[in-house]
Amino acid sequence: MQTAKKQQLCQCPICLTLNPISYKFCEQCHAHLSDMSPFIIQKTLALLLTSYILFIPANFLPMMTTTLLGVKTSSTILGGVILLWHHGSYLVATIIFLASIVIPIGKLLTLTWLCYEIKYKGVSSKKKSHTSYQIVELIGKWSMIDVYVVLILVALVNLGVIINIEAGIAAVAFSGFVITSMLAAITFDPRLIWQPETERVNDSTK
Amino acid sequence: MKKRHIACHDCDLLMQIPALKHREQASCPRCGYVLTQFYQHAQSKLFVSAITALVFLTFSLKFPFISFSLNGNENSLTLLESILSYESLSYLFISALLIVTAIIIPLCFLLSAIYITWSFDSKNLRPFTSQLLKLTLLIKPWNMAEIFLLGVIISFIKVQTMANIEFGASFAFYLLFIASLSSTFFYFDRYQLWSLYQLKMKKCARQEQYANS
Repeated sequence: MQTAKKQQLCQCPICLTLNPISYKFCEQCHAHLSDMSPFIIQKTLALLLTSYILFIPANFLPMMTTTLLGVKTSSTILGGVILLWHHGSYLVATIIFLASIVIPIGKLLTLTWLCYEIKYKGVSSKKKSHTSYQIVELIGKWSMIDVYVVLILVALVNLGVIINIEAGIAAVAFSGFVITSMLAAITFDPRLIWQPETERVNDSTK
Repeated sequence: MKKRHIACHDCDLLMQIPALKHREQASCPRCGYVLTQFYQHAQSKLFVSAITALVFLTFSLKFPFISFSLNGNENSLTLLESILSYESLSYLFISALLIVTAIIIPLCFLLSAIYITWSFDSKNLRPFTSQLLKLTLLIKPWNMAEIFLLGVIISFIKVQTMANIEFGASFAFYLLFIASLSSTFFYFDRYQLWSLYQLKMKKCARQEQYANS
């Protein structure tokens, strides 16, 4: 198996030009080239840590405050899901539960596991790791859906005293979480999964 | 199309992509990453769907998007009003984020797709073609227009039980906009576009040489 790195080449991630490995910027489009050093994982890990921290206020602070005839009720993400389930709209409750709780947690854990595998353990099943990375990259942005729903409701359900919906601070934390976790998925270099162990050891001792 | 060495974007395996026929796709033998898909007249299809999406987007901004009524009080919104709420400062960040991801990024993507195809079609490459192509590839993962659509549908189902809620004409246009935007994304192939760019550059250089001699 001949890889670009073995041929002393490095491919531009934007325009797919093969550059000599010593280049820092691409010849054609001047994009930043990433040599596959294991240190690039630190960038992903830093962003992952930020998203873990942001995920806590996003789930424990109120997402939405409804004022119905002067009575205020605020609910967190999970509270909203439970409320919807009791109202009988099972489909919407399932979609929101998946998009704002299951997918984010799965995404964070998968990326952390991939980083851990590359750094310490060695990738056991390359094909599986790569597939899980592709899934994470694909579905990551769908967790934004709850923020959209809340903001549309805020603008729509706005009839003064009768009924009024306000967004809580959790919406800000949650959108911050989505941004940082998407950035973490983008900075993660899938080529590291496929890199042979021996090559990686040589790199980190350099 | 000529053979060209390429490394897989996801696993760094070196390979050559053979000349592809209509509706064929090349994927990496090791990790299965789809390297490129070839369609006949993909450039004109890209151009046409981008123009269509642009037209539908402008239409969907104009008419009422969604309306809400309870006990005779009504609240009707256009597309922009349904995302932008000016009430407090804490909304500013979320509103800005949503408007960027749901409208501005798809708009930039469509405009640059039109510019790039126009530039490839004209005699010489237009200025900033490579920069725009690069920018388009960078903003591509941040497009969330279809998520906004699902968000609208979910809030529709949520509110339906307690009040009257109706979709306006803009909603139909927004649906059509999403359809043509997805088609634009489908025909936007990184490998094909950069190969065309290189071909065009070579051609221009040759013409210049010929003119000089």
